[in-house]
Amino acid sequence: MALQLALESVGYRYRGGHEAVAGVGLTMAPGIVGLLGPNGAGKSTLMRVLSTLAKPSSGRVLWRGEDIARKPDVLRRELGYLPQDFGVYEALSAREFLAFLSAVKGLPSRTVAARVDACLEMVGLGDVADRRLGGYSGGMRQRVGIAQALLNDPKLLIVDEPTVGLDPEERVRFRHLLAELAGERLVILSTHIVSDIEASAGMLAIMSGGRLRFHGTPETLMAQAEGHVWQWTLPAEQLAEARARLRISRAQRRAHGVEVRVVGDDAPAADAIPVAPDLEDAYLWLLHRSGAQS
Amino acid sequence: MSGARAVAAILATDLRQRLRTPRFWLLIAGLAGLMWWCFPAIDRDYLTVSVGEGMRGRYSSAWIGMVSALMYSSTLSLAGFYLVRGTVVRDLETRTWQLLVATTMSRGAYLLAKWLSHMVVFALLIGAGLAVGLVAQMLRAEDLRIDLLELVKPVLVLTMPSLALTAALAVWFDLVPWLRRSAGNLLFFVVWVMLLTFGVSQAEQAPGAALPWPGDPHGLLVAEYDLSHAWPTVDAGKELGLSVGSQALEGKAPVLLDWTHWQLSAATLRARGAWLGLALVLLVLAVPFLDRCAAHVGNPRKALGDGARLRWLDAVLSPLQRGTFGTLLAAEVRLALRPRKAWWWLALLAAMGVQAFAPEKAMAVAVIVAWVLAMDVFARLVLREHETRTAALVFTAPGMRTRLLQVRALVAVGLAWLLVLPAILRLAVVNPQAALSALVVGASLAAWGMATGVLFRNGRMFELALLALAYIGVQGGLLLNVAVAPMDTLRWHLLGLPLALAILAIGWPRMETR
Repeated sequence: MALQLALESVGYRYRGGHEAVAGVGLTMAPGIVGLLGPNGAGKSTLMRVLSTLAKPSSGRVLWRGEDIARKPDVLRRELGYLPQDFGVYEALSAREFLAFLSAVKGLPSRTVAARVDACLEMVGLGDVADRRLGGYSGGMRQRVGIAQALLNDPKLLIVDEPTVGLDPEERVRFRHLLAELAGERLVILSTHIVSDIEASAGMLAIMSGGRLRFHGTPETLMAQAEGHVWQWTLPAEQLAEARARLRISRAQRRAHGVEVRVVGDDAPAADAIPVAPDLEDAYLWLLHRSGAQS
Repeated sequence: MSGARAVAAILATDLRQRLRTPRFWLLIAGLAGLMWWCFPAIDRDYLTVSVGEGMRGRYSSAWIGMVSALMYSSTLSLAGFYLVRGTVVRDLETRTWQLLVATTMSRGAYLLAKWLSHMVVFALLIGAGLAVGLVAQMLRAEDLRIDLLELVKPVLVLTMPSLALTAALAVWFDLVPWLRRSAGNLLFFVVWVMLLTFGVSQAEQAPGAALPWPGDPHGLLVAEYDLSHAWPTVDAGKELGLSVGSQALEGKAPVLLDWTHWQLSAATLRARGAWLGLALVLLVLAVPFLDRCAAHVGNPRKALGDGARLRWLDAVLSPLQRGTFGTLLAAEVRLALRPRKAWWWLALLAAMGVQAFAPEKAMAVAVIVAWVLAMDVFARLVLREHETRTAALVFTAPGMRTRLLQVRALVAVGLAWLLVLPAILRLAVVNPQAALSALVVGASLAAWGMATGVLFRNGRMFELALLALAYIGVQGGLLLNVAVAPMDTLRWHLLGLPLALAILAIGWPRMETR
């Protein structure tokens, strides 16, 4: 069966009745899929459903045609998962922890040592691999998380807010790593930071309010926002008022005022000029539009 | 004024957090049920609080209040500690403390709020118990005059200082880093037993004498002293010793005494006030240590210093790591043993030495000690993913729940047997039934440790139960002492084992996957 993850009207409702995800349907093939959305959009809940940690309240998730609620191990065998929030066993070294997780994932024993070393090198922890995890910084722990997700050379890699806690250099390194990893595997990268995915994601899925608002290529999204982004320079003292009134995607201070990019249906002022939207503008435009619709 | 608001806010939040758990309400219901058992009808064959053999007070408001106070003083002062402790640790571990410490709230206000929160929880539990007592008074109809002041007075005078001390100790045990978990649970039990023994020993040394000041923290001496003065002429020639705990009447009807008013003396009030004062002093003494103790959470140096590397263990475990199951097993053993400090290994060595060479009675005690030393392993084995937030990493692997449970059961049972191996080997020669009993008890402890972890999502309940059983066992009672009636002990554990396994089978797949 082809490497494909299909979501059919997936919904998830918490015990208290809060519907975190509703009617999400999309099909994903190999490549990097960027799952974007504001905080509280339902991304992490959907990630938990996709990684078999939670069963959908409605709908189905099919991996290679198999329902993962019924046969979770079909997906788990090929899954690498980096949760948004995770802990480590502080008494173990990184090497021991990864060896333990290799056994957990059922990797053949003879390959474990080499694979652990390779993953540690990939995330730049080779020289501190024998230090106890209790002594690792937040960024180093995050890199251990990334390494463990790669242990079984997964066909489906789900990473939830992976760059949280990483410094700019580590962030760039991670983006490169992700781009290298994509190819014959499906990578789902969940984030609310547009810059994390704009260089690498071939497909986008955008959620807000628990619903899927967009699924397609970044180019399609940007095309939808065409004619809805303006560049406008205004006096600095008017910026606060403009922020309250308009949806401003970016602001830069210039010698003659503040240059802003505004997303909206109409031009903010007569002297505002239409510009080509970038991904951030298009994303904001979509949220603005879906907010207006819902 | 802002300090009072801060105290009120912390108190309210803490209570919300506690009252929103079904566990709390189950406990209230359970304790209320227990209170009903404390007031048996006249035709029932037991007493719970008696003065002298087969004598108890008529069920007046005062007697109901006194029985409630004594039961709560003696039991809630122990069980309550395990119930309320952990709120300060939660603030530290969830980093909420970092938010609080950046405000103008004083350290004293914070600790006072935590202490008050413990006290309010106790008050709710006692309130439910007193309500049950009132119902019992009306239904048993031995004395229908309701006197709320007399009902509440014993609780205020006897129980409150006792629980105030427990609440203050719960705060301290949350603060001191090495007392935050199982070691603290064990130490508190020892402290509680010592305080109880101290009280009882004072009573034995001074029959009929003046109240030894300040008496015991639980108020048992004060109660005995005042009650014996209220009934000086009953059953002349016999000591009117106060007995708290189930007492069989063996077919005889209880002798009922009238006691409708507790005449409080200044000495009694001073004695109880002293214990309440001690609790407050303990709380005040904790204030300067709060920042230093709070800094001990998530400190890398602490984690690095936790336990030894145990290179010998790596060598022992290396053959296991040739297979997947063995690697898991080796990791579990490492995780169970590496955090152990030097004192733990020394204590274990001593316990095993006693098992190997001491007389049978001492050997039985050493067996109990060895199991108590490993109680945190039994209690927390199934909680590792919950406590280290690794569930998402571990449970997304294929078939992991079943494999992990198998490995952990093996580690727990193996450890329970290994720790008492010298005793088992000796008993196998001289007392095979006791050896068999030790094997079954070991397996039962492992199963119940995991089952209660699954059921309560914390290890405290198992630790409390094990410590209570250990205490009974050291006194020569059943269930943990394998040298005393080994076949009875074995039967009880075999009876309980299916229930533990059922809880585990149902609860383990539902363990949260955070």
